[in-house]
Amino acid sequence: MALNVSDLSFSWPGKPPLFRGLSFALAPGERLSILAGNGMGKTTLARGLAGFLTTEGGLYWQGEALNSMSRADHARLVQIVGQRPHLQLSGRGYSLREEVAFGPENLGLPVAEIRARTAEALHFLNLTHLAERDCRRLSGGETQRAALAGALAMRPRLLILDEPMTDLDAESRDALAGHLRSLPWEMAVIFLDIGWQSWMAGLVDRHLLLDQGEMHGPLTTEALFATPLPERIFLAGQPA
Amino acid sequence: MTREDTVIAEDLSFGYPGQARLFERLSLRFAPGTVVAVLGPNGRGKSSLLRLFAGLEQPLAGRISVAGVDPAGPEARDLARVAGMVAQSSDRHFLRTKVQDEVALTARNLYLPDPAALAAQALERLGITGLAAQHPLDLDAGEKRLVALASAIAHGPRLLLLDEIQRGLDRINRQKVIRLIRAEAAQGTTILAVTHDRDFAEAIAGAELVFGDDGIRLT
Amino acid sequence: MYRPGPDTLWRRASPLTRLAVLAVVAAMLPLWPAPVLLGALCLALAGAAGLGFGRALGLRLLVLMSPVGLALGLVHGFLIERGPPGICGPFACYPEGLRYALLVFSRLALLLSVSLIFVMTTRPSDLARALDGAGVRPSVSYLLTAPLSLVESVGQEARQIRDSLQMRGLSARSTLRERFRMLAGMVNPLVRGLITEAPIRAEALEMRGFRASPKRGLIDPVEETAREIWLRRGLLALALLQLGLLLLWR
Repeated sequence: MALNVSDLSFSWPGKPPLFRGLSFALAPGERLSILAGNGMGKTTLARGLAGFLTTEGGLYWQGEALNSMSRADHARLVQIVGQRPHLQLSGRGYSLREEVAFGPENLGLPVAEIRARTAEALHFLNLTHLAERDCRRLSGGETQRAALAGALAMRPRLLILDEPMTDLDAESRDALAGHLRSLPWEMAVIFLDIGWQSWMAGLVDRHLLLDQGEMHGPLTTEALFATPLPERIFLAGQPA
Repeated sequence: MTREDTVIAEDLSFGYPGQARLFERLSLRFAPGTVVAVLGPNGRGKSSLLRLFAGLEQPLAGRISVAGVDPAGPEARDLARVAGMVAQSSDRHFLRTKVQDEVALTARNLYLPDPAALAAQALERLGITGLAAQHPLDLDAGEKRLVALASAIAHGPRLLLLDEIQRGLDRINRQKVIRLIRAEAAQGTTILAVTHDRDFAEAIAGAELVFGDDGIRLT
Repeated sequence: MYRPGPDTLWRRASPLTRLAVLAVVAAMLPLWPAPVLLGALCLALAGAAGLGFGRALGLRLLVLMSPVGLALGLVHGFLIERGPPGICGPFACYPEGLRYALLVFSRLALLLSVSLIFVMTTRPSDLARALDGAGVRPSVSYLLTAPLSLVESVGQEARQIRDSLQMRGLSARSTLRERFRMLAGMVNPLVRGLITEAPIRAEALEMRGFRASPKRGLIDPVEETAREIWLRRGLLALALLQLGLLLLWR
């Protein structure tokens, strides 16, 4: 297994635990969704799983604890794309191309490698035609794709997406889903969302449910539709 | 008795400076109680249309009337009286330290009688009376959105403008929003909802305004 | 502040070379008399005209420097006793004070105009890249350029807050009192937003490996001719020379 989560718990100071005793494992390149309603701690869980919170319990990537890694190793391993993508742009680059290159530049990679990764990430997100665009002039959907491109250019082995498709139109969703299925490197993906979304079809078939701090599952997509779910969890395509 | 259409747009043209026009000579009329889902790919001008109706942008040509008010008119308060809006950023921009004061704010700014009662009523209609005394920033993402929606309806607007209101809402909150939209429409409020979500559009809307490759269609 | 314009030698030069010119000018200020400084100011204005924004720069200087010039002349020429008094129309004035006012004025005007030329031709991101290329530590170059790039996103947020206030019955288009209420209403969410967003931004930078290694790579490496490097060294030497002369003459 690549990612091992064992008995992970977290609470903000003076508050009841947001989640407790979470345990699951992820194989290299595996895709998994964690579905949770509003207020169930999705965004905090994303940061926790990426090793950005002081959590209790174990969080290991191939046997190495995430919170004891060097900055560089941590950055090469895991990326999160969150719900407010414009906060994830560094502002260091004028053009979108420079912005996407920010991460690979920080790793001190050779020029050819920085260029290759940048071009590839722009292509995956259908952004090649906007490469020279001023980053501050991007629309909401373009900004979300820019943040995703910035994360993919790091070629992480674990990508955590917190409601990744909310600002994308159908065309961009399909394009991104297609590229996530056929990446040239092995990358595990955790999708955090409020429910099953139609773009998940064929992309992710193992689902965990987070409700009132407890984890349930994993369920296959088929089981997800067949079992009674916590009432906050949403299934796209079903009557509201 | 016939009532006049709430929203009238005639020969509307709009585009941002230095960019291609988003639409040209667009004419629309929406009767009271109509719910319109505004659909289409990013960057085609869906949100800009909402901003025009909200008086936040000026049309390059053409005329708009919202319940008889010109949104681009000199007194923004005239439009605030007849329109309410939940923008994508609304749930970040709370101004008061209690939900009940936040929801009463527009009514208070417009000097309507008994803003507190209007706020209580709006919270009740969304089923979030329990949040009234809380600080808006202590709420979770779903509750914040519901408070933003309550703030947009408390003063009883005739036109409600919603930009991706369903974005990131779980099933319970989504149902609350859908129920409220239906109830508002039944009372005669006209609602324009920009959304990427087909299921949501089908749940609320009697009409669809689609910004497509071949222009803008109303179905 | 950045203004695009025709491709010129100045724009092709590295931001660091432009910064070196700025250093030479800054070192000139305490050393040279008013006529030399005013001559340099004329050169700077002519340069700006060549870069395509002479009018804009001239206007900015006029707006910023006229009140300063007036105040300097009034205070040093008429109010403070300096040297033997002279007659200026119906008033007594101090010619030495006026000369001093002119000197201070020309120093300020020259420094301002050259700084404006630098800012109007240099994007913060270009400066950051030039500093990275020169091997400056990433955190230092970030500190120098982050405020400039933050201005834009704060402005965007302010516009969104203004829009939402307007929809809620406060108007930027009406009376002074209303406008004041609106501005006061904007401050709280704006500042709160900046405070809550700062750690999110910091985490995002860390996630993308910022400061993970002491030296960054660059997608477009800074390529400079040997001639430009020598020119920059020459400019820095000239700046130091002027400072040296100043110490000597004191």
